Amino acid sequence: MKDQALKGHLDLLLLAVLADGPAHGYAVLAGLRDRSDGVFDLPEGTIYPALHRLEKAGLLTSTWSTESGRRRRTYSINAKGQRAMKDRRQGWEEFSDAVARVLEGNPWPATN
Amino acid sequence: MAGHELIDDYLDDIARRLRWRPDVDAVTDELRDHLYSAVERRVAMGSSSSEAERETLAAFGPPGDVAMDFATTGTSGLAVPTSFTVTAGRLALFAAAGWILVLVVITASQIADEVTGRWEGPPQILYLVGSVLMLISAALTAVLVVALVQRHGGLGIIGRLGIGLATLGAAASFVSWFYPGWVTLIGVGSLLVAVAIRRRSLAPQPPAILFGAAWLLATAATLGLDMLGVGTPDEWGDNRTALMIGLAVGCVGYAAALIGLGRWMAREDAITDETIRSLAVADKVDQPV
Repeated sequence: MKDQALKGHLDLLLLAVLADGPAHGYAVLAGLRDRSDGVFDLPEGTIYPALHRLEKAGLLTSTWSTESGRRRRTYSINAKGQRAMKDRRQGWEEFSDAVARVLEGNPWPATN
Repeated sequence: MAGHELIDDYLDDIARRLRWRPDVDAVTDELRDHLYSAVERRVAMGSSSSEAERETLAAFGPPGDVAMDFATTGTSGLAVPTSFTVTAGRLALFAAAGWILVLVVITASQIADEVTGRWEGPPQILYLVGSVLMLISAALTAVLVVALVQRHGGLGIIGRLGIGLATLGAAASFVSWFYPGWVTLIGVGSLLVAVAIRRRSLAPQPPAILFGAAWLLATAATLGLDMLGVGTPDEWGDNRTALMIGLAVGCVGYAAALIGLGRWMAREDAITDETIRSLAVADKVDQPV
């Protein structure tokens, strides 16, 4: 359940992590895990297709470098990505506020 | 790099599953950087090398899952070359030859009409042959478009709209003599298909752009030349010179586009049904841990 919900918001979360600065996939994942205090702990391979999708959508750009003899791809959020993040963040806030208001009517544990 | 046998086996497995991707080397390089970094971090925290590799691969996910995610990235389906897309690519080369033949035969019919001064006989027969060739070429082109849809895992609403308009234009050609109307419909449809292909970033871009532009340029050439007064209308009001130049632009442009797209698809290594199943079924037993 948590994984499914997380996948639904993965694009926004990746954009938010990259809004702090350019990073390669491993650092993006670490940022996601650290900023959620370990709650968001996806299968690590999941984020690469998502990063590629965001790049194809024109929200990210990537560059290659060589680190410790290995090729490394670093992603950066661009202006279009910033705008997309702002829009999605607003959508998320409206959604979560609405959910919170509904739940306020039924304090946990729910009673009939 | 020595000491990462499990990781390297895993990457080989991913590369085998994704071998149809033009950027497979870049993908494996990127995953290698991640996996090696993760192993190094675990070793630094006290794990043995083999423990670190096993833990890293377990955290990364089964190769079937990862490959499946890549195969469906940015698509609504599985975007892989199959025996059908490879065959359609080969047929597209015949379609390209067909469009050139259409141009040659229709041009010959017009010249014969001018020379003999009567439509009945050779000019009419050549025109009918050209029309049949056009039908065959259009059918082969349609097969390519279906294959392009499959190869891209679907082309979304823009692609579907484009195919719909192009089909409408093709149908209109049977009932309407208003050439610019139905050619424009086919042109706009082709343009939308090209836009959808371009958004997927899989097919080579120049032939995709040409595919979208050919018949719109043909219409523009016909109407533009007519407005400029190049050529004279016949007794039916058709400016044959403008029409023939427009037909040449469309046929040659479409043929070049079909050659580019067809060669790309025909040269791909079709993945087998077994490989498709291995992508579709994320088999955890397949994970080398």
